[in-house]
Amino acid sequence: MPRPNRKEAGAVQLYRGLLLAYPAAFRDEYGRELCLVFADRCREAESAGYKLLIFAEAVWGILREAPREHIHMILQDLRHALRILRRDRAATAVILLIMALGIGSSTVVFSLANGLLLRPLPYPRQDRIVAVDEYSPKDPNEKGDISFLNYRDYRARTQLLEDVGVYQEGEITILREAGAERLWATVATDGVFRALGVAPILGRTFTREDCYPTAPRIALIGENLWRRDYGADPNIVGKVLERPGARFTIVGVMPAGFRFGDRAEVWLPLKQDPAKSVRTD
Amino acid sequence: MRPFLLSRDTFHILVALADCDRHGYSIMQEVGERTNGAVRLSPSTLYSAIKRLLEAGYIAELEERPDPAHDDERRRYYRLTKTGRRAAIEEARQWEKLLSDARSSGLAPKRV
Repeated sequence: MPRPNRKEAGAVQLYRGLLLAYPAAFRDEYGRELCLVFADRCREAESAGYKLLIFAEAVWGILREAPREHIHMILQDLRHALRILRRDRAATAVILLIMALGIGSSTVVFSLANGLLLRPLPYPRQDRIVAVDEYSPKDPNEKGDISFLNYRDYRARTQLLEDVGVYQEGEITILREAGAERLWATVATDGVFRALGVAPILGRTFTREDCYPTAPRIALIGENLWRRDYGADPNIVGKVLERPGARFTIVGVMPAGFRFGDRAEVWLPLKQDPAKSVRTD
Repeated sequence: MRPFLLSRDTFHILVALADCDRHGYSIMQEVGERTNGAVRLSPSTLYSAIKRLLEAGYIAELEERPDPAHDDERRRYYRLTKTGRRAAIEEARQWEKLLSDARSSGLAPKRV
């Protein structure tokens, strides 16, 4: 067999490099043959133009066939895997169980990380909201609730924060025609709504006056409760929300996406008489 | 009429191997000569088709070399198997039938 000249050898070298586009298994099996055939065709070509055409054809062939070969091998592997899984049912069950546990635990971890670390808070100015906690000067690990008097001081003296609010979550009973119903509620000061910046879909939120101990009893309800129990009544503002021994005037409806606390459907003004409050250290 | 099972290039390769065993380059040359250069297989197309034909059992790689004295020992030779021959014959029948239909419809010249 005649030895290829330098140009042909260079073209074969380049062609061998292009064969890297193939799966390794195909390259190992047929790479040498492909190069031999390509070299034969180059040698056979009489003019430089024809050599160029042969090279272009060869490159086009690789671009067309290499992806098909990858797909073919993947499908072949999948068929092989399915055959093995069908044959050994017990191993298949164990594999599926391990996969289910793996996927399940990954989903839980991601959901937690997404909720706590990644997803922004559902408030318009979420990057400017901070949580304030109090820690004991005696023990820095001991965290306590902020007393009402301390809250009033923060609100009066802060130069760093635009507004300050405090809140507390709990369950309440409301009385409906159909009977009593237990609902999650948040008792909050007016500053909470201004800090979060969420507008009601009907009516208004709380004012400073609503939080005075002598102020009339009022309530905000959530959109879901409004639709479920009040038939999305557009004239809900001014109607009464009844609790055992007390009647509250509904002053507004908060949108369904507003969650503060997580399960609250009713919000009541936090009223406390400073003279009867105890300060924390 | 059942659809054609073989691609055009694959059928050409089986036809090239019908009368003698050949290596890859010889298959390309044979296909080119039979079709007066109308069908030009690239090395990639040829060996992808050869791989599929080997997997399907239509062709087999030869252990012995047909002409060791005048041969490059790096080359591999391929032979049409009985299964491959049956598939090629069946495919040829399909083409024959199609051509016959085309003739009777006036789309192809009558046999002389």
